[in-house]
Amino acid sequence: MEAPERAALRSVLTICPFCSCGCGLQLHGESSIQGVSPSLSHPVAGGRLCARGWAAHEATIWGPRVRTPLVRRKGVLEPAGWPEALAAAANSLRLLRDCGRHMGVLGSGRAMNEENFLAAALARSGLATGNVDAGLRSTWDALVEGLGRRDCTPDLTRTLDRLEASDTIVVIEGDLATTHPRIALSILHAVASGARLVTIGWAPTHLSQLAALHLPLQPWAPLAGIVSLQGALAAAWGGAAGRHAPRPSAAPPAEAAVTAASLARWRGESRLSAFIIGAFDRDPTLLRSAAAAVHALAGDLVHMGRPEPLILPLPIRANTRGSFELGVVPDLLPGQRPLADEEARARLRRLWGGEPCWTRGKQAEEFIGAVDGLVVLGDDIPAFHSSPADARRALEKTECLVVIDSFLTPTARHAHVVLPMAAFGEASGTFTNAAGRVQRVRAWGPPPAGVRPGWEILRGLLGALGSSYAPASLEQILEHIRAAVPAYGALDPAAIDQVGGSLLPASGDRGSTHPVAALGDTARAGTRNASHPVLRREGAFDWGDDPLVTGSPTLRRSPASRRRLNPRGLVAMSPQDATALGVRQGWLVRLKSSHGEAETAVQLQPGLEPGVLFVPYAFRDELAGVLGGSGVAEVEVART
Amino acid sequence: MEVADCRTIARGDLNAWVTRLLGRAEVIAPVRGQGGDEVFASIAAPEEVLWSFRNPLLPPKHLLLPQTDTLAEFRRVDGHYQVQEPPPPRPKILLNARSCDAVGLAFLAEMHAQDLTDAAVLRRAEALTVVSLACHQPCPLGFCVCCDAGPFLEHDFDLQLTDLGDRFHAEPGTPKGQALLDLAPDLFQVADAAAAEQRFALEQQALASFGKETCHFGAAMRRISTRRVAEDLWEKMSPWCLECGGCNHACPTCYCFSVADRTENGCTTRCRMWDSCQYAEFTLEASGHNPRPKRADRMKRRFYHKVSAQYFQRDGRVGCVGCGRCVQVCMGTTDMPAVVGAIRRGNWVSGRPA
Repeated sequence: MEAPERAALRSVLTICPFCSCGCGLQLHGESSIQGVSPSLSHPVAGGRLCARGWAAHEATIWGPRVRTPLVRRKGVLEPAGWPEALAAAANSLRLLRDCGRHMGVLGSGRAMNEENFLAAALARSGLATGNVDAGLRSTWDALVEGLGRRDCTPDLTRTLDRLEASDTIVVIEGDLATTHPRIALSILHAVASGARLVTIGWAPTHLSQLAALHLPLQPWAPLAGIVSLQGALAAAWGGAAGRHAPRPSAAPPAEAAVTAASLARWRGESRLSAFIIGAFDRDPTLLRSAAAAVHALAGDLVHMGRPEPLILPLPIRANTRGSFELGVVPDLLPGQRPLADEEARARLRRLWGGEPCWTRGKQAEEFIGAVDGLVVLGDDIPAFHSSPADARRALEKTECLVVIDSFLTPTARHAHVVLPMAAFGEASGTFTNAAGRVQRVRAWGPPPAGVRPGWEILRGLLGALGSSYAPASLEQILEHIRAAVPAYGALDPAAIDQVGGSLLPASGDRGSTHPVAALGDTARAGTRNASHPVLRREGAFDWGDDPLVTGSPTLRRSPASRRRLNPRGLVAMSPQDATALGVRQGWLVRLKSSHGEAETAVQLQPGLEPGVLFVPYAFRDELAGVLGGSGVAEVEVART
Repeated sequence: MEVADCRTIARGDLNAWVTRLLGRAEVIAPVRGQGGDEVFASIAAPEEVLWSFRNPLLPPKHLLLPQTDTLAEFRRVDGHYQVQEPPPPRPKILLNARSCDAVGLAFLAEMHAQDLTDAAVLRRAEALTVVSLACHQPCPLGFCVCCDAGPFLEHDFDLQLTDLGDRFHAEPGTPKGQALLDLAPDLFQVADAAAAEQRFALEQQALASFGKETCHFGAAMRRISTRRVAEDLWEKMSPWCLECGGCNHACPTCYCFSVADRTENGCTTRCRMWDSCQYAEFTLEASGHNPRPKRADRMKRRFYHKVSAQYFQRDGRVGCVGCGRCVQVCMGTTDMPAVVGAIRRGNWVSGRPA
């Protein structure tokens, strides 16, 4: 440990790498990164950070960093030089590609726009495949599609101020206070000023404590809850809404009556409303339908002469939205253009050279187990995959797995080649947040010797694979992005470097009304068998397994200890059910479904409806045998 | 401090003095950071120093307690463990700390000198010279006057500066502060009566300017210390806290920490790092038991520590300098003035004291 001669305390302004709120923060240190503080000038952060934000620097310091390239020799990953590692990766991938084998590229919401754009190029231009996707992309895509607006940027530039000014807020969530704390804060402020909050979700959450009305989604017919709300709101608010609203039928009548009565009371008083939709489930159909219901409701309100409601769909990660918009998606070209779009194709031919592959690829969880050559950028597959056991098996049998990451994740441990990428605070680029702010991510200092920025690694791979796409610099990649994606082309590049970045323009396209009639059909299906409890997997993602959390001593304590204390996972159960079964907090129960059975621990959750059990996303693997590959199953529950 | 010891320096001579300071030690001052944020940073030139500024959101406590603080390195060599301590801290001068922050640093140094003294912190405190800049007007969110931590100070500084307009008044508080004046005997004059009067007048004016943003510590301390706070008050408040930990991290007097080790290439580095008593895991034990499982319990504990008379009697200080940062950084509505307000009034309704 030496004290460098000129170690001086300094800060850089950058963006938090966790969720899609996109809070600005100051990263500081003397001879190395030491800590963070919130940016007061930042329009989103306004001087605040959540617990994750305050620990944003930790994984870079404490995580299991990869410090040299690694190549698998005789079954063991060993340090190698860059030329050897790049050659090993490129040679294997090229061989598989040229033999017509299946290839795939996984981008990431943890990676920056420039890295994701190159990942899309690597797939379509370097590996001649349409199998390009990001792990959580489908949770964002479904919301966007359901809202009928492909660009999904609110017209208002001051989204959070508008949220705080709302008098009625509807949140469809998976615990917003945990997934997007900055948004939850604006809701707290609104409620403190008298706003009415309606929370809709699987189980009571932090925000539902403050809600005027909490509507639980029914695990066996979740769409019914959403449809019921839409119908009730339409009935309460009247007007032309009846044209769009299907009549609620699958929901219990008593609940609908309560809802309608409450909402009717608010009808005359509500002027400014807001709808927040988080990714509360993995099922894209469910997400799309929830978003469609919100879209229809919003349309109803406008039709009735109310001001345009704020609609804020929330991508999960810092750059989930950016990765999607820049082409890390199997059925669209960068800029969310259809694969057959000739203008988009012409732009990409000019930028990437040659004739890229225009084929529609498979989705991430489909191709992960079905490709022979897989490149993974900045993500750990078992951490997000709906079935971690399947993911691990798939990785084991992948013939050539190349991982580009900062950390030796479980995915990287399966790799044939690991190429070390700069971590947070060590590289520059841009992120696109939930509201379409494209913001500058800055390096506090260079990456450690032997580690490279992600874009340089991807450029090297592209070159080694024979692609003619070879951007000279990070700035040039951003120029290419702006050329390839019209919405990004409309950004002011100078503004991107300012605090708050540059906001993507709204297209002004209201989008078409989603076929709501189809909603009604789905909602009626799946009537509940009252004799059997229903087990549902809750949520779409758990931060506890993400490398940014597992690499942080502060943040990993809670998920790590919960896992250690519950080696068989746990299910949330209502106190009434527990009493009826004769079990207490922490006791084991046996769950049996048509798919299989498992023993797991009980966690009492007051407020949960009897007959309903939830397994947190973090424990989906432990209960995979019971859930059988879907998110819901009818179970028999017995005391062990 | 004797009036005869006070000096004045012409505004136009400040940069020359700062140049002398730079020759003596690393100078850290508030500067304009990226995005327009004020931050404390090492300066290379006097022009970087801000003399009129919003107080940086991160207090300078990281000069005594870095957010990531390397305590030692261990290596195993020939079957023995070798321990290497960090090199001694370089001398540093903190220029233009606000009164609240000067008090915060003094508080931290005292806390770490109690019981088992913390050598790392005390070495840094010894190597640090604190030049405070008295505040002419309250910060929008500040309530230092309620905590005996401003707007002007009588102690807890090495050198206190007051902006008199065309010149600055300088009061040495310690030999360390005096030494900074002695670096530039040509630039400093003995303070005349007019300067002393003006400094006094500015202080009175500042004291009179505090409006509604006060925080009635006395009343809250009486209630907390005589068990007149309803248990369910904390339950009512807890949904309005999102457990970000910002109140602890941004607080000049908070110093809770956790420790972690990192081993690479046979070398283990042990670091202390900032932690927050508001996090559920702060008191989580290896067995899985948590003495403070509910957020209400953690909030109650924090405010008892800050406001209860027993600590005031033990330390001679209240655990708050009224800087107002917790109001700014709160990812909720449970900042110090709000909670103190709730303790005084006895209730909390819709996110506010009632």
